[in-house]
Amino acid sequence: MRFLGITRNEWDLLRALALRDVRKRYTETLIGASWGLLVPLVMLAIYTVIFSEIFQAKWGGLTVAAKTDYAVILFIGLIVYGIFAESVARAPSAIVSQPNLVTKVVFPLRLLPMVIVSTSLYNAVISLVPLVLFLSFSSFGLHIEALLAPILLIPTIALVLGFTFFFASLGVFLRDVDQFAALFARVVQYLTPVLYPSDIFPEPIRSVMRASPLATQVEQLRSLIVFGRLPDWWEFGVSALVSLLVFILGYWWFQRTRRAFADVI
Amino acid sequence: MSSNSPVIEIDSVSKVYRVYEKPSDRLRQMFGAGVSASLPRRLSGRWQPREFGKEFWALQDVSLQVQRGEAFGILGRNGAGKSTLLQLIAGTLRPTSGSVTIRGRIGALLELGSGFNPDFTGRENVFMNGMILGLTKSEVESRFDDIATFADIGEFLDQPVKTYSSGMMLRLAFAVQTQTRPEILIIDEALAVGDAIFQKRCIAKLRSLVDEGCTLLFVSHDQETIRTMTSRSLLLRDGRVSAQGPSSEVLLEYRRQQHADESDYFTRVSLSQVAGPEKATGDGAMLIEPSAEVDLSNAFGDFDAHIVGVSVRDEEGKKAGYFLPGDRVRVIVAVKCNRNLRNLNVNLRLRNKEGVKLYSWGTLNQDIHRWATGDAGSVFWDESFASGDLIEVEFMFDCALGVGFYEVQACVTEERDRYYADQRMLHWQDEAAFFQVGMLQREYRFGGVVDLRMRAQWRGGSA
Repeated sequence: MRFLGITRNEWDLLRALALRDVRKRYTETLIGASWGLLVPLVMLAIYTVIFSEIFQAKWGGLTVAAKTDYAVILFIGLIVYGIFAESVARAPSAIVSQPNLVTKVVFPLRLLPMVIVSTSLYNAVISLVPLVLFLSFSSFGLHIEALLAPILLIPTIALVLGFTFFFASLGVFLRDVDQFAALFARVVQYLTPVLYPSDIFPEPIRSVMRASPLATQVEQLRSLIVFGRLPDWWEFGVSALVSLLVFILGYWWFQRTRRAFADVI
Repeated sequence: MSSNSPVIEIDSVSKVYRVYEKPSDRLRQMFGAGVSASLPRRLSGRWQPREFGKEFWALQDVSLQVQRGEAFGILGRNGAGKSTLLQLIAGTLRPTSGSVTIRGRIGALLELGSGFNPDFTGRENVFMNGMILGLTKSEVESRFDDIATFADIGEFLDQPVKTYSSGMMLRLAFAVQTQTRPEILIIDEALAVGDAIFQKRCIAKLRSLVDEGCTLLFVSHDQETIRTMTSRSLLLRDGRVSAQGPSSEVLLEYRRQQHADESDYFTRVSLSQVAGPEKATGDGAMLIEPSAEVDLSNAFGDFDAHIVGVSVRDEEGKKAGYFLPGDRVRVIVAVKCNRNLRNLNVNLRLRNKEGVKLYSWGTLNQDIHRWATGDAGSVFWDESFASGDLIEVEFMFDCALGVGFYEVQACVTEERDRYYADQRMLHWQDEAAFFQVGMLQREYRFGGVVDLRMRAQWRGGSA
């Protein structure tokens, strides 16, 4: 029995590893899983206060009177960007931290980057609870179109997987990748309209930003959930295609270099 | 796939390790080779890929075949390439050249608890381990009780693995590996940490797995375990196959090599005069018939002294091969010195047909006892012998062995220390002689391998 080229056994293993990964983070902490909520909420509060002041309660052409409305707009971007940033930051140690699975047992190593992405997706799902709460108290309300959000997220997941596969493999051979991945995530954060809309920038910068598939995906998801606006399917298709390409390249690189892992770990 | 093709087929496999200065050199090596392979020949001839890292040949031209249901041993000193070979078979390493074909699901106990995560409980690790071995979650669930019963570590099952002793870790790992019923099971010297009872249980479990058709690959430094567990073995030396065949023969070769390696370190003293390399033949033996002459293919040593004959005799001194419990047995070992020697020790070992060593004793054992009791009158150790001398040592005992077939091994050693601390093997002889023990079932009987000469007393009763 296979699904997406992954056997039943591997799915079980992936799920168990992901659960373990989530739990490992919070075992032996005082407030446990609440950290998963507390950190993003505090960051959100800070960003909301600062950026609503900087942009004088404006988001693009829209005047945003209530702080909760502003928070909702920022929150969606933070959630999507969070999936990317967390995965990329953890990717370089995905393989290196599991030497036993590389050298001592026969293990489908491709699951390890997938575990990392699953964990960051899990954190994103947790954040949905406050998001829905904020939304229902905001002036935007809940839109039925928001149910399409999972579909818009599929290319994002592919994109993140591609980068995670790539950095996970590279991290085995080059110890600098740790630093580089963190820097890369930071650069992407400012290239992505998370804390501000892309149209506050003049033309050349705006186009550069729009070229990033993640930027398109964040903006489309935001207008879908906040304003109930369906995406431009042409733009969506382009960003999905680029994401798929990143995924294929990253996966290919990972599978190509995988055999050499045992020689250097 | 036909059922009689070997489950493990290794064809002239070599493995080169490159010792890389930096992990990134491994990447450059891989893509250097990749680039030159993908270029057109005209270009690639000119473009010489740079070689990164130093080469180390862990295995060279190793071939072996293991049939379904066979128990196969792998022997070799540290660094001989045993672990590399096992990793190639397990699939965690890939050969540099040659091919490895495996037909069946592999379970491997390569290193103690290597698949375990120390922060999680035994229970969680059982599931993780089972799934790593290729089972689905529900398959592990259905076998969980068997695993827990076999591991028998009680409430520790729900404690984090980091709190386990190495013995408990082994119990759990072994239980998972065997209860998941692999078709090929690889055991790498892991059993040594278990306690005696668990080891016994492991051996019994391994036997029953082999009986059910599981193929066993066994690495151990314990020669007795190899001898009793496996039928065929492979001896590795410096990455090459040094011997392959029936385990008893391979073990002998292993011991021969161990001995040769030891004597390399042995600094020869008292080289007063070296006798010519005259080959000692059996002619000097007075009591020994030619038929008792030893077969040198089962021997190793420096041959500064030579066992020229070993014979088993009865009370009257006649050659015999069959004894009853209580019978006097005499074993005569004839040794010829090829140079001037002293501090000798002539030693016997008795082994049953399962290869278990039942008893070993030598002239030095007697000497030690005499020194201890102050009766140093006649001590073999003090005797000096000249080149060409023939010594006959007669060992006597009353047969206390159970029904069976017994092998006599004999050896002559030079002992520079009175208590076996510094020994040099002059001649070790396997299969020096054989004898059989029977029993008159209506006169005197006991069970097992040794007669403890028990007595019974009783109290009570109406008298």
